[in-house]
Amino acid sequence: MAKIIVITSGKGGVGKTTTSASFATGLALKGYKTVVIDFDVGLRNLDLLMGCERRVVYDFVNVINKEANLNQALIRDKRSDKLHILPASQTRDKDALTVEGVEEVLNELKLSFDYIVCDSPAGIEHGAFMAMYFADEAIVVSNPEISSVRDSDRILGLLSSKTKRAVEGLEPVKEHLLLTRYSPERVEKGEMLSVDDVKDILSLSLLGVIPDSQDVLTASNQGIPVIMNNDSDAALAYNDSVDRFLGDDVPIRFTNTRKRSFLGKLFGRK
Amino acid sequence: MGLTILNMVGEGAGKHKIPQQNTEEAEQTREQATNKEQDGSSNTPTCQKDQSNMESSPQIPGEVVNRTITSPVRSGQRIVVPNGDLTITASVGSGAEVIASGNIHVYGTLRGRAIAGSNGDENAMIFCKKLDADLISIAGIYLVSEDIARQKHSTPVQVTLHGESLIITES
Repeated sequence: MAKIIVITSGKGGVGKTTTSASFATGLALKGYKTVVIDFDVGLRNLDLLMGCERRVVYDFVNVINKEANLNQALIRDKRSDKLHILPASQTRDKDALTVEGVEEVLNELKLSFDYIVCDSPAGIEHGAFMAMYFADEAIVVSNPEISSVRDSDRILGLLSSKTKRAVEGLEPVKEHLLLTRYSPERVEKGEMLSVDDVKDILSLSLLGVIPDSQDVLTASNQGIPVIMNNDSDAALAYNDSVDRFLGDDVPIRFTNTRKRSFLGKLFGRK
Repeated sequence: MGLTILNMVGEGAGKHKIPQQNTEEAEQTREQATNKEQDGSSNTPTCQKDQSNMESSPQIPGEVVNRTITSPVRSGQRIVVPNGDLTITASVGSGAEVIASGNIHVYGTLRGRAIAGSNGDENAMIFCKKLDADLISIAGIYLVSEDIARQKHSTPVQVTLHGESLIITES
């Protein structure tokens, strides 16, 4: 049975799309047939991060409006044949998404995929609501700062009240917390909330902690999900998070400050 | 249990009355999941309040219905108990609102707004395991976060109304 996962946060710029790209790639690399859908209609970004922006012909809204069929709109990833991308429309707005239309597309995708990853737009309006409505599990992406944490709390409230599972009184959406842009050095200096602070405020199980890394921006600009960069701490942390999502017991890494070696200091290696 | 009574009323604080909650309207506008709320109300037994304690408290006629919430109350959620006590066995997030005509018990950290005695019951109390609230109010007398933060409470506290001031007592 296919699982629908929504990547959401409330606040913008915390790493939802980066996480969607890496998480979906991670699931595909583990052998699961995965599709990642961009729900950010009008502000399409996922195609850039996945490096498939030059191959977009039809999009999610075309499929909803029956202007194209699903196979025409799905883009096969260059790196993994298990991974497909369903891009958003750049010329429409979020009102193009309807509950019936989205449900129909998701039901069709469920027939041929193991995981459906929904990349939510920021905010708590229609677009975000559509992305979370049919979710079975939710990954709430948060940065270690109070405004992001409060917005995540708001989203968690909506997940437990406005989703299909909540409305129909089914088993609630399973919620996971993913902390991104974490900088142990700044936590140590007291400039940033610690993992424990965030866990305490949100009372939520921790899926992973992604360290703040320059590799993330580099990867985005190159159109390669950061999880593919095996030299990067962020990639390893995303990989661990995917393993934890699939049920493996992997310890949390990269939450302590690293002592830089003398040579490291000399060559300024980060 | 060594009680330290801390009078938290500063200049002007607690002197203002906030408008009485119109519970009818609050019921309609709240965003809380209907199913969750219904669960809460249907599972909790109804019980009568100790009337001896209530001579001076205005009560809206009708049955007292208490409510118990077992999951965290998230930012933006609003839980209203128009005629009864509210017990929450988890935390109340910053930006959330919990309102009851009677007492409010929070077995977690209270970070949001807690409004007890919403119908003007001056005997209502607020109890919480950890106090870090945006606002606490009993019968319209309130303290905001800034007033509360002057004293750090590391132990569970109870909040009562004495005359025109809210008293926070560590326990």
